[in-house]
Formats: sequence, C-alpha cells, structure tokens
Amino acid sequence: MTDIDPVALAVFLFFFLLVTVMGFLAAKWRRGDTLDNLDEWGLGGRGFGTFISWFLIGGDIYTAYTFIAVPATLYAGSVVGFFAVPYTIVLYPIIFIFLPRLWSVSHRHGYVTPADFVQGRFDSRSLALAVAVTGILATMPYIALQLIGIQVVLEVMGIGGAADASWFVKDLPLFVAFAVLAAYTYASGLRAPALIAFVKDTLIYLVIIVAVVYLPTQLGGWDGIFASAKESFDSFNTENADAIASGAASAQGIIPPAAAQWAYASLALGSALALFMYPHSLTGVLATKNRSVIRRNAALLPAYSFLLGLLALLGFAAIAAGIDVENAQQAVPALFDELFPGWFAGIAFAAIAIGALVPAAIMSIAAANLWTRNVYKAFIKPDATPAQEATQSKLISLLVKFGALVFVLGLPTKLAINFQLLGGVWILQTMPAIVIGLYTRWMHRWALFLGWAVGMAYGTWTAYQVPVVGDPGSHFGGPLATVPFTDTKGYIALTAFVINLVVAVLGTLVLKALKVPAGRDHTSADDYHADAGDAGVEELPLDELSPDQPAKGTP
Amino acid sequence: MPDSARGSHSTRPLWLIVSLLLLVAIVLPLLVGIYDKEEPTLFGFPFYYWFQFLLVRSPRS
Repeated sequence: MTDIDPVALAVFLFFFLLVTVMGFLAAKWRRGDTLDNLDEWGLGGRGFGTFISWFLIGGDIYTAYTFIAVPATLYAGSVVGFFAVPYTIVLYPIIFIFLPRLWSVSHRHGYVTPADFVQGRFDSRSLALAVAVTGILATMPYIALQLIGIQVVLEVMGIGGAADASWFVKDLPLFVAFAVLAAYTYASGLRAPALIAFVKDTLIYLVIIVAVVYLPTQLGGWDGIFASAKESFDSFNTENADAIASGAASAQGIIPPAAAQWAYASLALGSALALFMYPHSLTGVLATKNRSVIRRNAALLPAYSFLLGLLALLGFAAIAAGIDVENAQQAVPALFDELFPGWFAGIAFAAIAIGALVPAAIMSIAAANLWTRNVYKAFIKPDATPAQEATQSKLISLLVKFGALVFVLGLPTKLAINFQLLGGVWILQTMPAIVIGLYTRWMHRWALFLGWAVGMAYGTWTAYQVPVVGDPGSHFGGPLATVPFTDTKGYIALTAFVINLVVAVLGTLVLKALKVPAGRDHTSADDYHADAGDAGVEELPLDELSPDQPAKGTP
Repeated sequence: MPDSARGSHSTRPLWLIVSLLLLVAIVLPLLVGIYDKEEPTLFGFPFYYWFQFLLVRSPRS
C-alpha cells in the first residue's frame, strides 16, 4: 500500500466536508413548517417531483455495489460477479409488468409500503408484519455493503491504520464517517440524501466516463485487458491446481465454467426479483406521478446496465495494470490511485464514498418508515401523533445503521457483494405475498405466511452454512448453495423462493379445504389499473394509511 | 374511466405481443449456456461480454 497522497486526501476531505455541510443544511431546503412529522422527515415533504425521485431511485444503482463489490469479484477471478449485467437487463421487463399495478392500487388506497398493500389485500396483520420486518432486516446488509465501500476507500488512501493495528484504530475513520452520516440523516431526513444525490451523481458520472474512456488506452485496449486477465487466471489455475482440485480454492477464468451457469442465471434473476421488494426502491416508485412514468423510467434502466458492465470490467483492468492487492475490493480504488494524478484519484475516492453515503441514508430512512407505519403504528401505538411517528423513525434510522455496522464487524467482509446477496435471500421471501397478490387473491393469507417462514428459515440456515472458500467451518461465505435434489449450485434466494411458493400453494389447498377464513379483500379489481386522473386516485397519498384499513381484530 | 382502462388492458393483441417480447427479454439473458464462450471476439471483447452488452440494448428496439 502506498503512503498517503496529500493531494488526493485533501480533495477527498473537501468533498466529504462539502456533503456534510449540505447534509445538515438540507433540513432547510424546501422546508415545511416543521420536521416533526413523518411526511417531512421521512418523505422530504412529499414535494419531490419525478426528476428528483429518479435521482433518488436510479442513483441507487451506482452505489458501492457498482464501484467496489462487482469489480472486486471479477478482479478475484470469479466472473460470476458479472451477473450484475443480466440482472439489470432482466429487471427492466419485470418492472414494466408488475410495478404499474402496484402503483395503481397503492394510489387508490394510499399505501406507502409493500406491507400496507399486503394488509389491505389479505387482511392479515401478521403477514403485513412479516413483510415489514423482512424489509427492515434485509436492508441492513445492503447498508453494510455501503459501509464497506467507504472502508475500502479509506484503506486505499492510507488512513484507517495498518493491518496490524487494533480493530478500533483500524475502523475509527469508518466510525467517524458513519457517525456523520447518522447525524445528518437524523437531523434532515430524506432531504439530506436527495440534495447530496446531485453532487454524488455529478462526481460519479465524471469518474465513470473518464475511467472507461481513458483506462483502456493506457492498458493496451480492451483486448489487452482481457488477455492480461486471462493470462493471470490461467497461471493462478496452474499454480494452484491441487488446491482447486481439493476445493480449498476456486478456479478462475474470464468466462464462467459450464457448471456455474445456473449460479449465474439464478443470481441475475433472484437479484432482479428482489430489488423492487426493498423498501427504499418501492417508496421511490410509489412517489412517481403516474403509471407511464414508471414504464418510462424502466426504459432508462438499460442505459445504466451498459455503464455498470463497463465498470465491472475495471476489475480486469486492475489486473492488466498490475494492481496487486490482498483485498480484492481495493482493486478499483487502487487502480485510480495508481493510474491517475492525485487530484483525480481524490475525486474518484470522494465519488465512491459519497456514492455509498447517499443510498445508506435512503435505505435507513425507508426501513425506519416501514417500522413506524407497519410495526409501531399498527401494533404498539395506533394513536401515535405525527411528532411521535417522526421521533420513532429517526431513532430507528439510527438503529438500522447500527445493525448494518454489526453486519460489517460480524461477518466476513472479503467480498461485500455477499452482503447484498444475503439481503436478497430475505427480501425475496416477501415476493409471493406482494407480487402474486397483485394478480390474484387465490393464495391464502396463512399459507403465504407459512411459505414466508419456511423460505426465511431455509434461506438463512443455508446461507449460514456456506463456508468461505478455503476456510472450512466459517459462515455466510457466499450466496450459492447446492439446489436440493441436484448437484447444481444456485442462488440461495431463488431456491428458498421456490420452496416458499410450493409451501404457499400446498398450504392454500389445505386451508381452503378446511375453510379457514381468508379475510376480507379491501381492494377491488379496477384498483389495479387506475391511473392518475381516475376517480379516487390521490395525488401523492403518502400521509394516510389506507382509510379502509381495519384497526383491530384481524389476525 | 376505470372501466375503459381495464378493457384496454388484457384483451388487446398488442398487449400479447408486448408480453411475449418482455418474456423473451427476461428469458434470453438467463440462458447462460448459449453465450458462455469466448469466440468470436468483437473489438477485443469475448463473445460472452459483447453478447450481454448487446442484450442490454435490444429490449428497447
């Protein structure tokens, strides 16, 4: 590792201070009368138009995930990480198909969270609670991924202590960044990330475009980059032939081996299905103006996928540039450090760190809102005042970030992409209730609950048992496990999802035969096609829960 | 209004064609076996990579 580059550090600190000041000042931006209610704190006063909303949602694609986690897998020779590209391709038609229905029914009934919809559709507070709790839980590792992104940048810049320093000294700068983030999120709510998102995206686009245009010219073009990567992987495979044969190491390559094809496809499909189950993405989608805005936004996603793919390939570029780092996640920051002048490296580091702060803030706020609406108000204090709701959300946003920190400190952080994939394992289990619920009410509420429980248990247990490669007995080492009754490895989330579905279908048949009450559907068929301007479609009905939501006495 | 919106939704043949195209857009990237190879290369990119970049663009055409 190189010494601290004063220019890079100065540029980085300048931008970090800039966004910190912006974060606190954001409380005054487009301010309402008070920040003491959930609309203001948690939804930015509901004043965000399509433009800002899209910065918030679309900007989520460029996170530490893009810059750190995905290129790191390619650098490490695990080309399966390139699944991020088919993932965003598959995502687009999926959004196009079911999100407009969710938009319509949510605007008719004033649903804000997926759990609100589940409550209204299936008349089950337990199922809604399951969906809400899963959303909060699954968000934590996703935030953890962002924190690791910041940590990696700090390490490459040379701050954060050497490897032999105590964990406290080593992680101190991370704690500082984390505390600053928590403080301005607490103070300004959603306005902080919304304002900072502009700085973030400007910096990120600048860095991406310069990187993908300039780097290949320095490294012998793309064919030179691929050739270097291939050569490096081939020599690794030759040197470690014994370890690979015994399973103590993984073979490397620039295209996936045939045995990994299902892993690749299932990661792409599972992640695509999971993304819009996350509370932070759904809140943004529900805030759009009408159904066609969603479809138009869906059509913009492929352009993002293109850049995402090129960024992923920077992992190979790092190999071609001779970057040699112990921790694969440092590959791209080290590449910037090595091949660019200090001031530009500083901008790139700032872009990555801010690119991690913004989604971390949005995610913690969305998870906190979920808690306040579907747990606190539904179960603990139904008559909470707006000020009490805002206080709850603020506190929970801190708690969620703390939970993320626990993930960072408690789980192997070698490949942070696993954090996002672990969240996917959980969040995908809410999909049957939400997405199938958008089309049919055939499924029984208790069968959906049982399917969710089985899927969660199977997914968590299976992920727990996956060891880190070369470290038997360790846990949460990766997102892949052998699919039951086969020899093929697949994404645990998708396997758990299938099990979940099977249980839900069988359970429905049994419960229907037993004539267990299915509850009352509070939605009607034409709710699912309503568009802006139709009767009963509210402008942005984010301040009230469904008016016809039953208060008590349901399961 | 709600009625006309509903009527135009599930019955029109156009909607069927759109659904079919969307289905292809979902299924094709998941059939990894058909593009999991290095040759032929294009501008230095192995087939595996440029084919996926191609898929990124295709749903919009």
